[in-house]
Amino acid sequence: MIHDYPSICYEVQIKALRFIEGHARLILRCIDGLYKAEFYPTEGPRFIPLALKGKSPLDAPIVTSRICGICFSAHAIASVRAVENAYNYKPNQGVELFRLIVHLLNHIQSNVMHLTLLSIPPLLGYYDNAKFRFSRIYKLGMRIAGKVTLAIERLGKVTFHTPLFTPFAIGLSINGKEVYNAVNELIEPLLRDLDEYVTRILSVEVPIFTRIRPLLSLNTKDYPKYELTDSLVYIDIDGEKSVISQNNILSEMVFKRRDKATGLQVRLRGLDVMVGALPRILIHKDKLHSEAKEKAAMVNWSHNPFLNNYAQAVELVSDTYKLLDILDEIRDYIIEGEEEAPHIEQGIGVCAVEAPRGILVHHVEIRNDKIVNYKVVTPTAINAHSIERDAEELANKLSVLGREKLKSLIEDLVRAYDPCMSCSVSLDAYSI
Amino acid sequence: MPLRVAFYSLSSCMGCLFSIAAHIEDLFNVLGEDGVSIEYYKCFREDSSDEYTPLTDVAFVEGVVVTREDEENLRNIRRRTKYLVALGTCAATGNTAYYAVEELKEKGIPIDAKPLSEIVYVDYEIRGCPAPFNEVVNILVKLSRGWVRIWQPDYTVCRECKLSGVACLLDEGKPCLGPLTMGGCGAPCPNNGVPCIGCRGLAQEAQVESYIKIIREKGITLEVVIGRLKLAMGKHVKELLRKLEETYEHS
Repeated sequence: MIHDYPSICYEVQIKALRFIEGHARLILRCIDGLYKAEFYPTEGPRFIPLALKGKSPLDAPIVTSRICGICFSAHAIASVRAVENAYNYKPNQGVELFRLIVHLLNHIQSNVMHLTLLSIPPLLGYYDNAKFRFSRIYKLGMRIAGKVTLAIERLGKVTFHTPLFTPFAIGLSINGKEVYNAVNELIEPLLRDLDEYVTRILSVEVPIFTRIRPLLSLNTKDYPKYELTDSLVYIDIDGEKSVISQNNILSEMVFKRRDKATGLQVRLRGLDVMVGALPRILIHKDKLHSEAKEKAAMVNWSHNPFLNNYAQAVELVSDTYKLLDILDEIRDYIIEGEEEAPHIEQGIGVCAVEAPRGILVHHVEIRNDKIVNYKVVTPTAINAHSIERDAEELANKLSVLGREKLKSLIEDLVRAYDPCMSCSVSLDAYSI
Repeated sequence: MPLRVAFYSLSSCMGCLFSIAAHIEDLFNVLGEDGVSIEYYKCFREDSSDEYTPLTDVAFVEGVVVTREDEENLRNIRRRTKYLVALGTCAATGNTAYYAVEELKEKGIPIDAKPLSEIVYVDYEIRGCPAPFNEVVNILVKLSRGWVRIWQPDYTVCRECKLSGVACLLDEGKPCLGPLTMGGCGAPCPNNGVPCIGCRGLAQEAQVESYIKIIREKGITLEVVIGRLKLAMGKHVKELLRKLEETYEHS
């Protein structure tokens, strides 16, 4: 339990945060007796949104999926729906189900790889997975990751950046039974491993720490990963709920740059806000798949960012059972897209999805069937200020631990958020 | 003596490193537990919170060089490894970033995005987005046996489409870059109805003149082709542009 101790002033510099996706820095400075944190990406942007200017919208998903090596489907699905929204096009049910299957497979892959390789080993004292790989958690986790990765490969012929999301589903022609056969035989046998894996993850001790912060998630009837809607739900620090239209979400955001940062941070309504698995569960716990509710009941949920690890584990159960339900449903479909793309003179399309790490927004402006502007706001850019506020709170309470122990605790805190710095620099600090 | 190996990332999506991590047991199975020692691997082994570049036999580096830190890290890695492998299209050709920075440069913003070979000497390249895992294993197995010549496919993506029986997307009037692109990826994009974007870089067998003839027949403009080439082919585009424009003028 974290108590209040008198604050001791010193600077903490974590120049290269370990076991996170991408490269970032966190610096804590003591100013007038209180800690101030700066968390920012240090890796270069690859300017993918900029590269899409002047290109065909049909190429947007295959290019934007390369923003991230671990949550490629989230970008692809946000991109494809943003383009389709610009054209006022809605895909048929078979295409939507197929996309959701790939998206859920990627979610499971992302969450299990994050827990197994990145956030859990350091909590258990390992900074070398070549040694951790002999543990039961690692073996179970990588077995699950291996099967899910194989399922993705069976559908798309490649394990990452899978080219299965094309606007208007052009070129897609697949039998639902084939999808069922390719995926079900890999996923169903995993259920026992998954149960043991999640139980083990939920028994890994995490620090107890609470700071109430605003939360943001998709506003959905089902669990927010399982449907796309055109609005988001925002819960403020008093617990008051408000709904934000997907089309207006970017106008509610202010972008800030830390000195030396290669990417920007987001402020929503002037404050920090958290997105990701923990906010999803805090807001929508009752909508989890019934099989996951038993696991969710094992946790005393609160605004403790370290619980994001548990939230990702519980979501693994919900996502897997939901995937099996959708596979049953898709068996009767012949999934076919359009033969040709429609044309528009002008259109703006926005899509917000729940990526593994939280809300991801793609915004596209199209003129005469060419992209004139493209913007991507990622969950890590949204979470950055919340990470800073949590680091400050921890340092203010626990500076008595000393620099090295505090550094270790802060690294665990950042890892719990599952940040993706490669994604976050899509909102780059150069092209503003 | 185990082969000392490290996996680094610069400015990248980490897709190459994650796709290798997903198959890491296969790596140990092929090379043996005592055959390989992973000295550093971003997101797999990071012992020290200080910046650490161990001495290695083979260093795989993913990502494009954008920041000054990227360049310093790369030079440091080059000094401390026997063989340097550019892992993935970003490292090998610059990928999307290579041309995406043009607009910023025109505005006077001092930014660049370079493949590794424009900064240091690179011993091998594994092109692909992501880099194919079998080519990573191939290089490690060969180097562990002291074989330094590494074969790469000399054929184009077209061969793989033909072998898998996929209907030609160029025939459908789609601007597929398959005839110009190095094969070996299994043509996942054309197999899913998505025209190839050239992420494996220029093929040795690329038939530029024939390609120009086909795109003219199908009504695909050179402007559209060049736009797509700049999405992923990076540094190879300059050479190809020169060939394309010469051929287009003459044909």
